[in-house]
Amino acid sequence: MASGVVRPRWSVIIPTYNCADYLRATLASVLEQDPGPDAMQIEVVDDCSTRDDPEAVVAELGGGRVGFFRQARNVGHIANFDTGLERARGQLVHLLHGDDYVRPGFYRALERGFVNRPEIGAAFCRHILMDELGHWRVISPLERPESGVLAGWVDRLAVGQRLQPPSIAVRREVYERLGGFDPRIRQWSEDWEMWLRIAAHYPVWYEPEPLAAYRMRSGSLTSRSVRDADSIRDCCRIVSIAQSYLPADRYPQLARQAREECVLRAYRRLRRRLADGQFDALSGQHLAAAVGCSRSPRAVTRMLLLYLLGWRARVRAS
Amino acid sequence: MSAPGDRAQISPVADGVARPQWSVMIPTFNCAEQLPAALASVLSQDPGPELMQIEVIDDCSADDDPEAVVREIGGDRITFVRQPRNVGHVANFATCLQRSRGHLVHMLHGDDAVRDGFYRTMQRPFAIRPDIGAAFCRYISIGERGHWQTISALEQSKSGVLHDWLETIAIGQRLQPPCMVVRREVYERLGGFDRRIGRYGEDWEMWVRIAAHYPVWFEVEPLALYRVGSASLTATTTRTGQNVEDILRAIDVIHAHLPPERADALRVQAREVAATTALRRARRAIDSGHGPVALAQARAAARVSRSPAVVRALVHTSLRLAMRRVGTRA
Repeated sequence: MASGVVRPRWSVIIPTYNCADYLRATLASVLEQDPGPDAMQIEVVDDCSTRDDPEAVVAELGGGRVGFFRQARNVGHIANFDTGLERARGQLVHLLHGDDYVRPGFYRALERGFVNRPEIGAAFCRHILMDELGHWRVISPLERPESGVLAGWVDRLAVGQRLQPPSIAVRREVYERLGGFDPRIRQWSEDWEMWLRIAAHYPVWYEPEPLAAYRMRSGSLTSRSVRDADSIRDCCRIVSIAQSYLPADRYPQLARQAREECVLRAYRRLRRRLADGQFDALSGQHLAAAVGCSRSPRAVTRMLLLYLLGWRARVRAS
Repeated sequence: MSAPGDRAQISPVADGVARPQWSVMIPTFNCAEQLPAALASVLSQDPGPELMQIEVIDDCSADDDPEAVVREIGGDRITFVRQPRNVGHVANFATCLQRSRGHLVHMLHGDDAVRDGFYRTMQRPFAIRPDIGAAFCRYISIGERGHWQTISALEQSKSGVLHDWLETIAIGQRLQPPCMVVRREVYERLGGFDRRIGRYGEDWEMWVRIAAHYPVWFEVEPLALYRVGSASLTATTTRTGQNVEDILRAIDVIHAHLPPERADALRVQAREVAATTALRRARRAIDSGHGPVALAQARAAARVSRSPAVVRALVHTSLRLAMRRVGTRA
């Protein structure tokens, strides 16, 4: 950060892309707990939305309080996040996607973690998964019953994603030292890699109250099967990337578990889809991606089982 | 068929008695530790005594002093009534209903709570649709220390009167008491909770009975908090399988409320749901090392239903139980 720049405590950076409808709730949730411009920067960073006008929403709800930046062209979500981090001036950065929101008390609760334990790199709370209509569906697991620094966190997080972006705040200094989101990851789970990288270098604070809400979006049906195969590959790529910073003695074991989990997660997703009758969601691509990722007996038998179930469903349907 | 003695009679409120909109009736039994949260959650949205009656009805708690909690938190805003002797929860609920004076009755167990906006939100449907008998919202299950765990099912994506609700609620319990609001008139017509049902399922039978006679409204917001006791898995009734017997009794009582042409088919489904739930409980018991509980629940499940899905789950559970035994011996 250039010296002489006024630095608020918080930077709430809100990346958007074609989600202006949801942005209202996002902005309202932040403004409701706004400690004022000296203590909090609030800025929407739009990745050149084509279908809607986030600037109008910002003007309407923010009334000059909320900054707005628009990419000159669509740069993709990962590059847009990096722009957001660059533009953050505060000591604590909260990357709040434009379709998520926080619940009252979020900033106060997480700030407490940074005040109590200045050595932490990040603090996060539990989150609520909501559907496209905003209905709460699932609450993330309770990592421990009290707030505080998590023990053994990097090992737990290394095996699989456990948090969602709206639930975590990171010291800007940490991003300055560790860098932004990894460009080697094409589409999925770049956030997991980031939180894992932070966990490998810093203690992380946990708040058991679910103070953030994350929106699950299903996207279009046709794109799903391709995405699932890609997500297995990205997941597996992250496990390889993490080798450079996970503890060397535990890495082989953690990587084995994590790769298996990459496949098992895809299995659970596909299995649900199959149960919903979408058996065209399954293709040889998944099998190839899965075998390329983990050959653990559990992973292999699950994927074979899935393949048989898919085959049976298709035969029955025809 | 039910006899008059199976349910408490709820008489209409006497003429001349002032009737608030709400009656929040809070039954307690040895739960004084959680009671402050329940009371605070109601008082923080208290519209005043003209609009809301609030009473704690204690079933003669032996281990703690709910009256002291009521005085400390509620002052004289909350009425406290104590049964002279322990009458059991179904009779205590009947006292709650009989003492209620409001048009809308909310039975809030002393270890549960409501979230902000519960009463404001749940009052609306009764104004929009005066024909409904009851309205319920989604609820959040909380642990012993109050941490949120799970959110109940989204019955439909918009708040409103449910279609085919009787067929849905008749095959299995989907609700917990704090989420339900009932017009007092409904209890006056249909009676109180059924005494023939033992420890579990008396609330379920009540919601089915209401669904058989009235439209029911669903509110999408999760505005009620239901406490899940960790002791339930090791309770005597679970160890012996008595809990499943209780549910069977409830299923038989419910049979009489259903349209005759659908009643048998729905009973078959309800038994399958009861067996599946018992098997899920058995697997949880296996995971937490309670082998005898798992065995009792699996046995009960086998008696209740032999549907293909239940048999499959039974085989799966038995295998896991056997593997766990081999594992502990090795």
